[in-house]
Amino acid sequence: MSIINSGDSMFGKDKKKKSGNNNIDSESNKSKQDKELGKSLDDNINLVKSILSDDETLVVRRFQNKFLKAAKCCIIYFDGMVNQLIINESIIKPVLDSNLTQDISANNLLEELQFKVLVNNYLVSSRNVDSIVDAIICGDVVFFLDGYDEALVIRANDWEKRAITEPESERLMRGPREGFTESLETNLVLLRRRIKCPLFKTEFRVIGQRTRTKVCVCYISDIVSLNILNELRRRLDDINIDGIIDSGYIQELIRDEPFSPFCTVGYSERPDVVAAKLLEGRIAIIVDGSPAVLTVPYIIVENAQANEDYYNNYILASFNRFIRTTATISAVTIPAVYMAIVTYHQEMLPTPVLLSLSASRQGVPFPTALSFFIMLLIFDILREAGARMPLSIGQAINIVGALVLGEAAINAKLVSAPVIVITAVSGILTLLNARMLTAIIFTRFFLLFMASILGIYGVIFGFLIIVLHLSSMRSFGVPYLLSITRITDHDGQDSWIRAPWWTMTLRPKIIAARNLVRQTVGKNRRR
Amino acid sequence: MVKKIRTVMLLLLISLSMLFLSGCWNYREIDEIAIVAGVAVDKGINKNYLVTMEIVELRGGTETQLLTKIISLEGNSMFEAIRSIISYIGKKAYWSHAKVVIVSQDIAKEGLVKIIDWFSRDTEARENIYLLVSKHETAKEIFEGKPVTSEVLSFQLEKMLHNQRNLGKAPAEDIRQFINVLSTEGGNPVAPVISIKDINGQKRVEIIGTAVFRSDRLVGFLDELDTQTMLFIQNEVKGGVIYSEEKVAGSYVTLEIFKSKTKLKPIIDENSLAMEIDIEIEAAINEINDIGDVIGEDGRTQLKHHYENLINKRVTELVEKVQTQYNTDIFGFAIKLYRNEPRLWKEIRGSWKEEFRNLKVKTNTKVKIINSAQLAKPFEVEE
Repeated sequence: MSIINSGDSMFGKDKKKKSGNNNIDSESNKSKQDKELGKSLDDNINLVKSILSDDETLVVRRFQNKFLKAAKCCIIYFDGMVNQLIINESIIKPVLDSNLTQDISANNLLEELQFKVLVNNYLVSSRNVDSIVDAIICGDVVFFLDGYDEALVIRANDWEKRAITEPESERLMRGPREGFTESLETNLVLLRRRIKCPLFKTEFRVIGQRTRTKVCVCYISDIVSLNILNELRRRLDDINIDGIIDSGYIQELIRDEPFSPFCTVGYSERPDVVAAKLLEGRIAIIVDGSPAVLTVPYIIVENAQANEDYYNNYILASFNRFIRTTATISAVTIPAVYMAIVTYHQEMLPTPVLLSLSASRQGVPFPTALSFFIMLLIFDILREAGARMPLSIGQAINIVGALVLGEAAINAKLVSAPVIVITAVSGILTLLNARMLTAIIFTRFFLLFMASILGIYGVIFGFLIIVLHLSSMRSFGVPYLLSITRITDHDGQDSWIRAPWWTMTLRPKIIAARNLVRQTVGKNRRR
Repeated sequence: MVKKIRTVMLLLLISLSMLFLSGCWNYREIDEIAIVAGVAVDKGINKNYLVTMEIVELRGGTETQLLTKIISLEGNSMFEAIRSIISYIGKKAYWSHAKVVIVSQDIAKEGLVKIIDWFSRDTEARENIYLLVSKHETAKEIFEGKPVTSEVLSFQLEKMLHNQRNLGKAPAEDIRQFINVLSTEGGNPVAPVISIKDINGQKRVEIIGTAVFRSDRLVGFLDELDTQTMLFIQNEVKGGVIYSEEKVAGSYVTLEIFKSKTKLKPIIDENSLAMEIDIEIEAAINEINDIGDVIGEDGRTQLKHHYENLINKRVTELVEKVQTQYNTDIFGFAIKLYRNEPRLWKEIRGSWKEEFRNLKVKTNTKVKIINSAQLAKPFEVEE
């Protein structure tokens, strides 16, 4: 892992792009110094200071060896980003105390310092002003020695990190509870601890001209599809943006079908999930500063797969998966089907149901369609408010929401009771698969609209449109509906159901086409 | 680009054609329809028909109230009368949930096809509407009856007819069956009979007995006992009660029918035509009203023979009655002949009325007594 190397490659890329149509960051490009470092310590310090001017956290500390007066040194770093102890104990103290006159036949003093004096595990020398400035910004310490046009970059960064906690968004009953954090290095450690294999590869790059966000592409080199990997690299290289704050930026920038409400790039905050996906031949993209690690390719079955499925008994897992799939389909269709039957096909209702529905509609002024749109909107408003509110205010929202969605609306004859019931059912079903929220909300409104103009035919027609849309989708060349359209062979083993582990001998097709065999079943295995 | 436009056009066309190809559909709010529960058809005073509809009216809110309204309309045709409801209540009548059609005897005597046509032709009305004949002068007075189990009389009538198979006192025929029978060779339909009875000062409806038709015209009625016998011949008995007024082995015994199967078999001699009727009944002793032992071997045999003879006698008498009084083949003998002896049927088809009048029947009833319910012996009461 070499930050300077990746930094260098970034600058190399920038230089290339300067000649192209890159205008986003012309000012910062201009400020990039073509100057080389000089031999004079003061000149060098002034050079760095001038580049990082108007920044009061910049610390410039000069010191000198006790014995060799010529060894005037200086370290430059940003206050707060480095560990004081490391600087004091492993940079300043050794340089101050060691007897340089005695020990060193000073041909190249800097090299001698590097090899014999400075106590630090990560140390690189550099002549490039840009990379030196970059290192300071990233929290490294830069060491100058008078008389040398070369500086040492010393790793001493240390800042507050969030502890590894269980992700709020993906809870489970059984399974590992570690979650990714905002630190890329920590995340990589979490993954590496799960996949101890030399073929686990990491590729670093820096995206975002101002944020200079580290992005790491991880994969297992003998399983991953090279076409997908190359396509991913191409798409990442294409990104030319000033900043990446969260992996969501990248998720949207590299995805297929940008206008579809269905996800084509997955994410997880759990290292166990990402490790499992890597083992299936997928590629993970870790973005520094984001606990959500992206995985590609992402196909529709992954929406229904939960990590717990694989840790629990396969019977329960299959049942849960059935519940999730039917819940998602119902969440989308229930309001539309109800709408269609009640306003177009009353003859399809049993007489007692017709009578009670009719009774509940008496005196309600709005048409069913309108009241549905309003109630579903109110539900989404409440959901959004609840997600964004501080906990203390959230309580109030819940109470008001329950009233709005409950008794009061019926008593005031604004909507009929069944509409509220259907809205609530549909809303709860949506939350069962929160990952597909966007898709569910929009397809639900779409189907409801179709139902309100064409009845049950509209629902069927709308559903057909959605299915056609899904079957035309690809995620990095992999069909989006892969392995749900066929259940023969090994295709259906991990889609509608979760087959027992001993039968899942193959990895998913196409994604891991290069190396399909996941396990060979031992002869002594009893079944 | 051209391809794109073509796809868009194609999609538009497909979605447009859906509007026209989807058959009957219409946007209407559920509270804006007048749900017709049942209808009675009488002869009109000024126009041909007087159609009386029982319409369900709902009072919503926290407490749901189910009320009915009776509306009578005149018209020269069924549809004319029915559609004119808009002039009275402003809502269109909604027929998909109508359950019963009650016709007056006058209408039934003139022929029911005129009435039925609309029910089977219209898109809303269903063919599984039950058809009833009013025993009273008009059909609409049936709606004066007070329902017991449901707030809506027509819904109660539907339940009464639906469960009739466990009783066997009236045929439960809906319009589709009525039409089916009419359209078979030599078939004559029947219909249940409805009347109003005064029970404890309350007007209650009663469905008992059979209206006998010749083709689609009413010719007479059968009482409840004859109706059960008729259902035996038609193989329509699914359950019910057989009671004999005579003592058997010293007890009055009531049987509950569990299973009944009837087979018709035409017997053709050189000159005469006869119909063999094999009835197999599985029944259980359900009530014993005296101390005579009917459960023991002897008693059981006596009981069995008694009921076999009883049913044989009832069948013979009923067929004779229908032959002489109404001369209409309501039992489905003709269709049996048509199926089993198509050549013979061709010959006698023209003179079937005569043939039916002279048709001999031979009845073989077999009663199998399977148990005596929960008690193994009659009650022995010491004097």
